[in-house]
Amino acid sequence: MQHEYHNPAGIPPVDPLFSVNKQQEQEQDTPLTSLEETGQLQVPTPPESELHCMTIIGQIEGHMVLPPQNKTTKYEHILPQLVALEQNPKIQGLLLILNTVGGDVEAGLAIAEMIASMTKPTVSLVLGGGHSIGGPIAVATDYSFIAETATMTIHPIRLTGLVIGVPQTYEYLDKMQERVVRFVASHSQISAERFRELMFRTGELARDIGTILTGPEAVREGLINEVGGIGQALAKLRELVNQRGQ
Amino acid sequence: MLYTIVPPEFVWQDQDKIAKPQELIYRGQKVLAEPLSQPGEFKLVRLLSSDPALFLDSAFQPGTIIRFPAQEKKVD
Repeated sequence: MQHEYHNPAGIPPVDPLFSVNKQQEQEQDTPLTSLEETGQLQVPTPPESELHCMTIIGQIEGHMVLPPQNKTTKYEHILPQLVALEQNPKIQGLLLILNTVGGDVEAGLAIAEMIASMTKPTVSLVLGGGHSIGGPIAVATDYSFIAETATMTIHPIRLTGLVIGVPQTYEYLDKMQERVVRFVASHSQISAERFRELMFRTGELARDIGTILTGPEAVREGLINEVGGIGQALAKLRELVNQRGQ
Repeated sequence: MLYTIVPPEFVWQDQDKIAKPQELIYRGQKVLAEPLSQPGEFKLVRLLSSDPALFLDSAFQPGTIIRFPAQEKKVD
């Protein structure tokens, strides 16, 4: 019997799990192939760990798709994941690991607001860098850690390379910036005044105004709760989970 | 609007290399995926679903390579 597979678009309309490929079957006699033969649905496996770990890396991609040389965190995937974490009764807590150079303001704030409004315990750990919009995300959790060697850059929001022609643009940027300042101030120990001061400080950055805080400095400024690593972060998260369970 | 320490000229270089994803059905779910050079191979860009649990499924993480069976089919 001859089977012909014809698809002008080049994409089979069927689920690849259900499509029978005899040659492949002979080559590998795995449990998966028997599943294919019996036509069983592959049920998504339940989460194995009660603590989930989410990584915020590279650029936080927002309304614009970034070119492929950027390593990106996609907020359209992160947001429903946070919904699932909040909703799934098996998941007890969230560990957020950051090594980010910043990214889209609104996408970053959206992630930060989602994390801040979660009822489950959340702990963040900044490794390497938590720059620009990474700041609000790092402080959005219940408790935050920063590695000794990690840095956080605080600088103003601006449209580099574009000519700002109308006063309204300044106002718009200022409003965007205020959203970041207010979020950070209300979710950490740093005051809005102090954060703004660090943001506009001159003489620290070669190409820009602003401040680079190392791990211990970020803690001293009240931006981050504690200097630490994965051990401390997980211990804190477990502690918060246990507190919540009581 | 980007708020990042990376200069925009670095972020936006190779802008012409952004692939156009297409919609297809993968494991019964509608996804956006960009075609790779190998025929029948795609890279998952985005899951289009309203079921939050699916977003925790490792099969639907962005960047996952999707392989559809080869065009030409076998003889029994």
